[in-house]
Amino acid sequence: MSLSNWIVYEHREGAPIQTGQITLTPISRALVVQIPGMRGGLVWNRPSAVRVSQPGAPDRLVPVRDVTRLTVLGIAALAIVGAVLARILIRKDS
Amino acid sequence: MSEETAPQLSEQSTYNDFSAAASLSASSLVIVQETMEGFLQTADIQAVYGQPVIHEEKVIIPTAEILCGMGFGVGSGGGGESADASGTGGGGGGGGRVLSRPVAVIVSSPAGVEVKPIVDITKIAMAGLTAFGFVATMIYRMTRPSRY
Repeated sequence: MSLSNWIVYEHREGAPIQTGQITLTPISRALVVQIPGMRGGLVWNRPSAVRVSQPGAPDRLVPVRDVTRLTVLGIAALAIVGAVLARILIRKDS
Repeated sequence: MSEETAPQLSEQSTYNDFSAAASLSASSLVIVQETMEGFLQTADIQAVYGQPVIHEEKVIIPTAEILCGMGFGVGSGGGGESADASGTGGGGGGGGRVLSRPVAVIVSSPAGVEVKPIVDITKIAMAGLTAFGFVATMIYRMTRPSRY
């Protein structure tokens, strides 16, 4: 049984949405974990980007950024760096 | 006479027990199958992109993040051949949780397409307080005089 049967990470594109001359295609990223032999699993699904298509212009991808998650991860990283710095500085002082 | 009929009744009873347990197990499996199908639908793109809302010349599409976890099991079993340990039974149980959080709103207008993030101030404040508490506790423990 390979790991790819347990864990699937894929990009999915939804149906295009026409708004005037602009066509929006939503794209999502999904992580699906299913353990064979066990009934259950985990699904983590989140929006990734929107493809914007306009006549006479090349398609462009507009990313959907999760500002809340980025901020929380930034705070966690700052806390770890702060703790390491504090440890180094306090050792030097003593 | 009674010595002959008693085993027959017991066999019939055991057969009915097994039949009932198998039926219970089959119906449980159907429920499990349906629940699993519903669970896997949360990985669909329609789960994270909401229905577009048209307002004047603007089209607004809400987006959300979904985290879903679940697990369950069913089982059945029977006793032995002896009259004292006969009978069957079955059961099942499970649990799960779905977390959904708005991430951003996509606004499409004649001026262009923009993604407006939805910021969860409460979550950020909680993370900030937790991080501050972690660093403050660590500094306090490093600077306090040793007892020994």
